[in-house]
Amino acid sequence: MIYLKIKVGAGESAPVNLFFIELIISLLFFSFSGAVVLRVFAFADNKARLSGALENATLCAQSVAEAYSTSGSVDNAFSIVFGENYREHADGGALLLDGGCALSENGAVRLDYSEDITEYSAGELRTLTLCFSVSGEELYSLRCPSYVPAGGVGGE
Amino acid sequence: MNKKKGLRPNGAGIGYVSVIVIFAMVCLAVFAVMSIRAAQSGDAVNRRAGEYTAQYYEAERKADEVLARLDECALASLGSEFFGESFIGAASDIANTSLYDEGGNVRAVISAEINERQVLELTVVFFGSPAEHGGARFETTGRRTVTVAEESGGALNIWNGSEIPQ
Repeated sequence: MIYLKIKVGAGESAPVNLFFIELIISLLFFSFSGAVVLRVFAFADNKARLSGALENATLCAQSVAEAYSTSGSVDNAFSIVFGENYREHADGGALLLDGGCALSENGAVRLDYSEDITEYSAGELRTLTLCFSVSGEELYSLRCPSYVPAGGVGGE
Repeated sequence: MNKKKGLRPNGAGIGYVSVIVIFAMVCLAVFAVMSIRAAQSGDAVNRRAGEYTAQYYEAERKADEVLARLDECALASLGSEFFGESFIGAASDIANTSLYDEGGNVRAVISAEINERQVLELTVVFFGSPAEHGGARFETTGRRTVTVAEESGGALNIWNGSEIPQ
């Protein structure tokens, strides 16, 4: 460690240590580095949050797809997954969900859905498109089918 | 008393603060890197799972398209005397489908590619007489994911007891 003597006056020397100067420089370094490290932590936290939202969106989409594949109806599929009261939250082909993919009026996750129907002479092939987004940015999308035969019900 | 080199007159040395601050910053930086690595690896796993789910349902959509076309053929063949032959003849040009006549009924195996390694296999039985099955023209009896064997190195070469080639 360093010990300094600075000559204060002519012929005199007084021990002036650098303790406080070092403390100030250390604090400055700590604050700058801390700011960088905090930004990295915040980035990691944001990434983990988005990753969790993606995982929940995938599971939610899979649940809706299975319900839709069985029932062949968007209304039935959403009633099974989100409950009967989902219509109260539906806003013209969109639903607001929270991070756990439950219905929420102030949810951060938006689920847009649309149904496309292709007609065959023996039935209809329906395709439900689900698109989950957070703050306008697409998080996950899935297209799930359901074949509904006309005049007879195919079973599993 | 405080004549030792590196000690302040009150006993605290210069440089200890720097050492502690640098050590703390190194620890924080390591933790930050570890947290970002953990978040990235979790994100990669979730993305792969999401992609696979999307691929699976896309394959199911393709299989359902084939099913719809087969159902059209089945519907057209219902009035015919030989349902099996008529149905198989009408549906023979539909790709990714294998058809088997099973005495009045037809079993169809539909294959749809999920990705380069996996195939969704849908087994559907079309009935020659839907009235006997509550009006249903077909029944899905199987839905499974099959792993495609790689062309090279997919199977182990096992000695089958024959003579060892010289």
